[in-house]
Amino acid sequence: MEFMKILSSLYRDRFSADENVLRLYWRDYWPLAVLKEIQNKPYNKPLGVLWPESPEEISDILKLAKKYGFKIVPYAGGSGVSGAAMGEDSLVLDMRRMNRILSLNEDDLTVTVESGIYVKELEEFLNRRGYTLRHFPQSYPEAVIGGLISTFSTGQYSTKYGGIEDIVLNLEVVTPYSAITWLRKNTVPRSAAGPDLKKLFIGAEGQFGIITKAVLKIRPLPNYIWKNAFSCDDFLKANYMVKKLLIKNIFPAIIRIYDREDSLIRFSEDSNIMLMVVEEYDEDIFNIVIEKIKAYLSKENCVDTGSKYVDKWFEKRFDAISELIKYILPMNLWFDTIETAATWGNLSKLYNNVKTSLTNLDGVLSVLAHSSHFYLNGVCIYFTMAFKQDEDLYWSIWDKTLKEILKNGGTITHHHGVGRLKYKWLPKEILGGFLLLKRIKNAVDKDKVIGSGSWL
Amino acid sequence: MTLNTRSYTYYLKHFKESKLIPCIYCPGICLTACPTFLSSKNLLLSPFGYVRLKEAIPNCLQCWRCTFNCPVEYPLPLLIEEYKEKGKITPISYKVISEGEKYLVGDVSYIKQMASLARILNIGVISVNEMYSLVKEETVLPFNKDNLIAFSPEAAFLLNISHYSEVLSSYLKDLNFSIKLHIPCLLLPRVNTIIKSLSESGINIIDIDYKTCIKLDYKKSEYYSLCPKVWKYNNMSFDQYLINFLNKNIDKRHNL
Repeated sequence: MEFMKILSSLYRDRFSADENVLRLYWRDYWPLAVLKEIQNKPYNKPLGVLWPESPEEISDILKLAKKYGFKIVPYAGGSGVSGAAMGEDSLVLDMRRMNRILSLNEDDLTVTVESGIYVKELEEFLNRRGYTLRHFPQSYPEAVIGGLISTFSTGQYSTKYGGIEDIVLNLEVVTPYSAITWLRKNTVPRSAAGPDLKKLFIGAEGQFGIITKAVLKIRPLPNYIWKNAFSCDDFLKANYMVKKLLIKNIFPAIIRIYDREDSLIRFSEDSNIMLMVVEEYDEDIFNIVIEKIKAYLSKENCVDTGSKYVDKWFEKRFDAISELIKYILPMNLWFDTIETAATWGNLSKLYNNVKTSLTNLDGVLSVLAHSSHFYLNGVCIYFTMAFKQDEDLYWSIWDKTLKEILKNGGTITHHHGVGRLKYKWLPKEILGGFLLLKRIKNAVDKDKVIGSGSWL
Repeated sequence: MTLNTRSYTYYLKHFKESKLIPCIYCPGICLTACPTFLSSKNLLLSPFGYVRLKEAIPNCLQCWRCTFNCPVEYPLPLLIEEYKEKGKITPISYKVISEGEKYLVGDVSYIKQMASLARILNIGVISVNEMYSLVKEETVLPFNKDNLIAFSPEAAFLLNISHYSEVLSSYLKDLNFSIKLHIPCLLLPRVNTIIKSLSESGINIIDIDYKTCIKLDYKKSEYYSLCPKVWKYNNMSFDQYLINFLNKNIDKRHNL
C-alpha cells in the first residue's frame, strides 16, 4: 500500500509494519481479547504502528490518513479493559515517545505534560518535589496520562480527591481535521467561557481528537495519614454509614468496603471488611476527623481491626496478576470486572439484583463485590466474576448484567470507559445524547479517520 | 560448582511446571523498568516481546529489572537463556588472592580494583568467574556467607551476599564528601540499605540515578556507578572515586 511506503520513508524506525510488532499491538487489556490470545483464536491486527514525537507529526499523519483513507487509533498505556485502544486494520499511534514534563508551576499548583507520560513517572517526579497528583488507578504502573483522560479514569483516592476530570485544567489536542490547538489560551481554575470543551475529550476514547498535552492540578503531599480497617456485619449498612460521614463533610481519601464473599477471598474474613485511609494537612483537623470516624463506625457495629488489612491491600493494590495465577488460571477459569455507580436510593436494589443475576448464571463460579469510590450522592460498586472460559458465556454475562444495572438505575461504566465492550448499551444510558455525540463526531470527522472500531 | 540463582531457579521451575508465562496475562507492570522498552517505547523490545517472540530475545539486556518489578518475580532472563540454548553450566573457579577474616568477592577481571579497596577495608580478596546469566544449578562458595562481601553487583546477586556499599559504614565513617550515585540494575532491590550505609559513612548523596542500565549505554559522567564495568563508557565507578578520595585523605582510612 502506497501510504505504508510513505510512512516508512517519513518516519523510518518510528514506523513498523513488522508482523511481530503488530502481534503485540493488536489488543489492550480487555479480558476477552486476552482470552482470545491465550486460546490461540484468530485476531485482527493493526496495519502498522507509529511512534509520533510531536503534535505536528500527528497532524501530518492525520492529513495522510484522510488522503489515503486509512484509520488511526491512539494507543497510550494499553491497560484499558474495554478494548478502546484496539487498532484493527488501522494505524496505531503509540503516544509514549511524547512523554516530557514541560513545566511545573508551584505557585499555581499545576504541571504541564505531554500526554504520553506514564502517570507513575509523573507522580514520582512530583513526589521528589513534595507534590502529588493523587491519582492512583489500579493500572498505575502501566497507565499513561493521555489514556487516563481518554477513558475517564478514576483512582483509589477518589473519595477525597476526585477522578481525572477533577485534575485536568487544560488540554492540547490535534483534531481529526488536523488542527493543533489548546482548548484554552490560559490556565484558569474555572471558566464560563462557553461549554467546557475539555469534557468533550475526557472519556471520548480519542474519537474527537488526539490529546497531546495536558495541564493538570497538583497538590502538596499530605502530612498526616491514618490507615485502618473495620469489620462490619452488613455490606449495605456499612455503605450507608459512609453516606452519614460524607454528609458531615468528612471525606476520607480511601474507603473500600468488601462484601462477605470478597472479604473471604481477600482477607479470609467471614465479614464485610472496610478499609479506610484518612489524609490531612493539619494535625488538629486530622485528629478530629479520625475521632469522628471512629465514633460513627462504633455506633454502626463496625469493629476496629487495626491496620493489617489496609497494609495487605497496599502491598498488592496495583497487582493484576497474582490472583489470576493463583486462583483463576489453575482452574481453567477466566475473569472480568463490572464497575457501576448508583445513587444511594438505588444502591440496595442494584447490589442485590445484580449479584443475584450474576450468581444465577450457569458457568459463573464466583461473584465478589466491593464499593470503592464514594460521593455525596452515591457510590461505585465493583463486581469481580470468575467464570468458565467461553466467549458466548462472556457476552451473556455482560448482556444480562448491564441490562440489570440499567433497570436498577446504575451506569454501564463508572471508570473503565465504553470501548468495543460496551458501546452497544451506550444509547440505552445516554438516550438522545448518543445521537448528539454522533452528530458532533460527524461534523468534526465525517470520514471517521480516528477510531476504526469506535462507537461514534 | 556453579554460581547460583537460588530463588530464581525455584521460580523458573515453578512456572515451567505450571506452564504459565505470567507476562501474557499482565497489563505490563514491568514496562517502565525495562531499559530497552524505555528507550524505544516499542513493545517488541519489552518483556512482552521477549516472552512471545524468539526474534526479539537478542535485544533483552538480561538486567533482571522486570523480575524485580514483577508481582510474581517471574525470572524472564532465565527463560531467555533457555531459548538461547546457551544455558550450559559454567564451572566456578575461585581463588583466594589474599587472606582475611572477611573477603571481597568479584570477577577476576576486577582484581586490581578489588585489591585496592580490600587494602583500605583491611580484608582479603577472592576472585571468581561471574557468568551470572548462564548458570542454572544451585551452588555456594565453600565459605561462610557472612564473611563474603561482594565487589560487583553480579557477585552480590548470584551469591546472595552483601555488596560492599551496603556495609561500608562498618568500615569507614566521617568521609564527608558529596556524590551523585548510579545504582546498577542488580542492586536495585538493595537501594535502601545502600543509601543508609553510605549516609552513615558520611557520604552525602546529592542525586541517585537508578533508571539507567549501563548495558544499554551510560552517558552521565557526573554520576559515579556502583558497577565497576562503567569504565567502558569512560565514566568513573564509585569504588575508583572512593579509592582516589581515600588516597588523598589518608586520615579518613582508619577512623573507626
